[in-house]
Amino acid sequence: MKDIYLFVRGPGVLISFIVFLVGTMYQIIWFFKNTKRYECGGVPIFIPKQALENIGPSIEIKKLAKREGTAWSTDPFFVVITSLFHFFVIITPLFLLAHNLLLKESWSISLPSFSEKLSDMCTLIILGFGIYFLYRRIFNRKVRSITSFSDYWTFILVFLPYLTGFLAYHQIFPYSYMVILHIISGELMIMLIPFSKLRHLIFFFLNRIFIQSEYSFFKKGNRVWS
Amino acid sequence: MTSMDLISKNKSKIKVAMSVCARCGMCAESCFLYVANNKAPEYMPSYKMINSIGYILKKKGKLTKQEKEKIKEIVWDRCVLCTRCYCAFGIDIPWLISLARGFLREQNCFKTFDG
Repeated sequence: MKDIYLFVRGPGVLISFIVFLVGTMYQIIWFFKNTKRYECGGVPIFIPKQALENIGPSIEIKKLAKREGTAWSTDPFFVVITSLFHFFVIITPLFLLAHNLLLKESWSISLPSFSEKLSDMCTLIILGFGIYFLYRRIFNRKVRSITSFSDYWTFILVFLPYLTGFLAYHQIFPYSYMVILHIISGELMIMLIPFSKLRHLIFFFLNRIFIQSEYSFFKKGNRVWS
Repeated sequence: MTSMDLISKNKSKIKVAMSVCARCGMCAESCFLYVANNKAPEYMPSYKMINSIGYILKKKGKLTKQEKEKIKEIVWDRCVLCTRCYCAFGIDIPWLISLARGFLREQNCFKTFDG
């Protein structure tokens, strides 16, 4: 048990971060290799008023034409939940006291830490929202129609590090097993980010910033898929 | 270009698009046809993408006649390539649907019109 702990606590962390960084670099290079700059033309980013008036009588169609049919207006509750979930998923491990103490011990660097009560609250929010996502995936008709096995195991991949971390901190099950499971599941999640569904972390920014589309951020997308 | 050339040339892009798709369902309400058809999941942009080009890739282009007919119905009857579909991750769904149309055309599977 001690040997496993020493491996996952030491070289395991380094391996997982190296795999993550190399994988991320590979995806970024792949993205720029498979897209090209698009100099001419542009995409419409507004609908002229006259065109709106000519679109059929349906209020819903008019709203969609005005781009009110994006997620903010159709499902604001889910947009808020998913944004908060992603926010906490990233900041909670970064500003966790235990993680920063280990970083300080190993590499003499650390970030500021939240109080343990605050980190606990953040973790519970993540776990609660995670359960909501699972509920939605099973019981929401439109989401269920496109769900496959990989969606469930991706959920487990993300949920497990936060659950085991919470259980380990509160010593709910034997601590030595929980902490090893927590470290292994966390390292697995980090390693698989560039190679699984979690690569949406990388491609969300690449696609929305660089690819030309009426929904691109900053309206500056100037690349297209080649 | 043969139908398999079309797929193999774009294989990695299709694979990445299928992987980046988080199956969140947020694209649904951005499709006119989904809204107009009583919010049937079969009209969701992600559903159409996964079950057309995603299925073609999964089967490595080797489809039976029935499978081709099913995909034909998805890409021609359930999508008009209006490009209104919104994807939170920026996946170019119309481009993927048009790839599926191109694949079917190369296999001599065309949209037929009544009358």
